[in-house]
Amino acid sequence: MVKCYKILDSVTATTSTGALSIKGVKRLVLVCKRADNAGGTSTFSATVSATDQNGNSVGNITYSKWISNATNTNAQGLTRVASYAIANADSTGFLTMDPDDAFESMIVTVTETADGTHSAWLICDYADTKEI
Amino acid sequence: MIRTYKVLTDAIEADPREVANLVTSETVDIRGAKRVSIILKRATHTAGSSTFVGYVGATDENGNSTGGIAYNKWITNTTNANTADVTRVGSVALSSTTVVEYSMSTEDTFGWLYLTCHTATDGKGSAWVIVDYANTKEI
Repeated sequence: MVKCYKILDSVTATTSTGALSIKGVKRLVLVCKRADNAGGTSTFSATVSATDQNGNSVGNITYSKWISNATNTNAQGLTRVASYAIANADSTGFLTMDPDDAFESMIVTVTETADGTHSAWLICDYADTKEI
Repeated sequence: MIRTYKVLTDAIEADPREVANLVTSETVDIRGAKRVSIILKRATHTAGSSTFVGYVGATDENGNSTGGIAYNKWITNTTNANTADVTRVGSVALSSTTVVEYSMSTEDTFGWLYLTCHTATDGKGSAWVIVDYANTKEI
């Protein structure tokens, strides 16, 4: 089962989501959009976390293995980054979580430089049912 | 379960379906797909080319689209030495009569996929999407 959640809805300042549950997600894509460009930058990043059996958080850890939507030659591998910046353009792109990883929650932050309207979505594949 | 969808048939230059010199395919629902391959074909070639680009996106809980994003991680159907990796590309230009296959990187998940085709000079471009939902076996 795949769900697509809008997690930042046309915000116009630096904004963080609340803690978003990603328990059980097998594949995760973060879609990032910048609109109303007037020369600035929208930079999207995330922290990940989990809670132990005693109810204590492991803390918020900056996630640095986002796989970028980039081509590569056969002498190269995937590119992994900690953030996605859209500078001086109206554009939409995405980052993919490394499928090696599993976490319980995520906080996504957009950092605004100067201007712009910023949106983001999480596409979560829970991978337990088919959809046709 | 695997399904194969023909999404684009015989796109030509000055095609009446063109918008901004691009013919856009049908959109395929790929929610839950574990593997996605595309088959791209150029026929009736003389001197031109057919250039294909894939766009991905999803529709959120409010029915709003993320918009189509050009996908740049199509894995090519090429050999590699054990010291090499796969090759990923963002577009495919065919300049002969040929049929080729590309795969979506398996770490990715989206709601839907469509393709565009730009035909230069001559030829006919067609495309199929093969979707493996991978929850049942087929014998």
